[in-house]
Amino acid sequence: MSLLTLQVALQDHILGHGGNIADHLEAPRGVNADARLHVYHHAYRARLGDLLREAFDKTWSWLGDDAFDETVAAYVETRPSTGFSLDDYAADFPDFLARHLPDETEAIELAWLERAMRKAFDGADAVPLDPARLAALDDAAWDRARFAFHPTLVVRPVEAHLGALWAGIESGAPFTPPALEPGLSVRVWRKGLQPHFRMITHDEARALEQLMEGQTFAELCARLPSDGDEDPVERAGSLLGAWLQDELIVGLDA
Amino acid sequence: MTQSDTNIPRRPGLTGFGLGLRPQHFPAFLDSPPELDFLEIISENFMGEGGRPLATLDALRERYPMVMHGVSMSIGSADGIELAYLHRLKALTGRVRPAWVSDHLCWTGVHGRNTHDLLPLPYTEEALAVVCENIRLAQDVLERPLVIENPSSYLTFVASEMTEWAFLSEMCARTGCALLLDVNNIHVSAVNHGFDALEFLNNLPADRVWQIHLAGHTSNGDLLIDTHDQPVPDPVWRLYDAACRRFGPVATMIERDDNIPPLEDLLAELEIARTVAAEALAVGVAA
Repeated sequence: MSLLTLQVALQDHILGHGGNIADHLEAPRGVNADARLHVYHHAYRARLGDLLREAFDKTWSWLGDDAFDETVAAYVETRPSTGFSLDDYAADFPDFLARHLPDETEAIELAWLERAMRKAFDGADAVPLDPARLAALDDAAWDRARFAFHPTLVVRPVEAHLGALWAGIESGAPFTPPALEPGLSVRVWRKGLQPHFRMITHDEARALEQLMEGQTFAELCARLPSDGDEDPVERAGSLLGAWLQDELIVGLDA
Repeated sequence: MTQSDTNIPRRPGLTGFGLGLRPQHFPAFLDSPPELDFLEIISENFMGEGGRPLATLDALRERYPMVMHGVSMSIGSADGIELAYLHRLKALTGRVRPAWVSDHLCWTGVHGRNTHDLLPLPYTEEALAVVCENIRLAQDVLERPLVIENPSSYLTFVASEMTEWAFLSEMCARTGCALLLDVNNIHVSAVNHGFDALEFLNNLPADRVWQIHLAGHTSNGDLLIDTHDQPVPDPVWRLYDAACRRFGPVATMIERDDNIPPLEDLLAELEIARTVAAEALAVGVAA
């Protein structure tokens, strides 16, 4: 048996695909091959299970042990890892969960959020824009101003009140989350070294998406709907102030 | 870089006592950096693009010499090693400027699969040829000699034609690589496979041992399991004493991978290592 054939046989055993690797093993000290193989078979599942429980601990808390462990087992048995990075292995779990438990909206969105926070944790660095640069712009520069956003920033529409869910789970006490509500959005980014998320209005989400696609700030001001007593330009100014405060903006082209 | 027997790279000057850097200890290291001769980082923990891991790495690199330890090279894979991984590792060496780069005598997967485990090899001529070819490729890409750690294992292959120590010795001779001796792994494998740990130690090429890991393990009743989640037990301390007498001063560290205790506990354990080494080396010098 060639080395490659032997390795495929052992790998098949570990992944649960059967095979005849035990025929190629000895049993020193009276410990048989099955007992020895079990160490690797078990370690594979334990390692990936521990990874997913740590990476999605709030999703786990929300779903409870039975539903979460069943989902993890299904993921591990049907999705062998294809890369060296354990972190990459966790990346597809939220999409798998969405297909596996399609009615669990809170869990699906929590898993997405936990993954986004993890990506923000060690995503690319960028220096926040100094607000003084904006103070120096003349009217013509404002008309053509475009912003670059922190490379970790992602925006997503959601239905769950993720802030309340997150805080409730972290408290460790029983809680009743608000009902699902279509039209919510969340943004995730890193400020300094700390990942953050914030629930935002649909208007803010749309504004961020348009600016991230390259729209100028002037175009945004012209298109933003008014919000109660606030006119579109004031509203855009308020959003810009919050983004600067949150260190979302890292570049200015004006 | 292909080495011949007459052009074996010599050990860099790094010796002394260090620890493996773990994320749980980032705040403690930054707030009150302990006196250590070096830090070992897990290479894969610092392959992100930015954020806290790399910021912490840069800050600690200002203070400590470092070595890089990986778990993903898979130098025993019969279908070759992943070049993309080697290039990411190479980029990290540019940032860390480590004294050396290490990985394990093992394979993690074949045919595009990864078990994320350090799987054992049969000790055959074919496996030796595969390992040496992969080490040469890695050394060419990294432009430095590799340091290879002995694994702990639970399987004994019918096909094996030589002992693990003969395999390691020949691997060093053929490629110019060096050894990271995990003393706990020697003990675990010796018990699981029924060989003499001292015979293992005494048949390694002493000039190729560049680093030593100390760790603990657990028992599942039948086998010792290399969990690296316990303090260093007495049999491993005794084996470390023998290793010090045989190999002289070698860069030594406590390697804890799970059930991570407070940093002070690991520093206290490292003090034991200093004492064991000092006593063993004093005897060695007197002898």
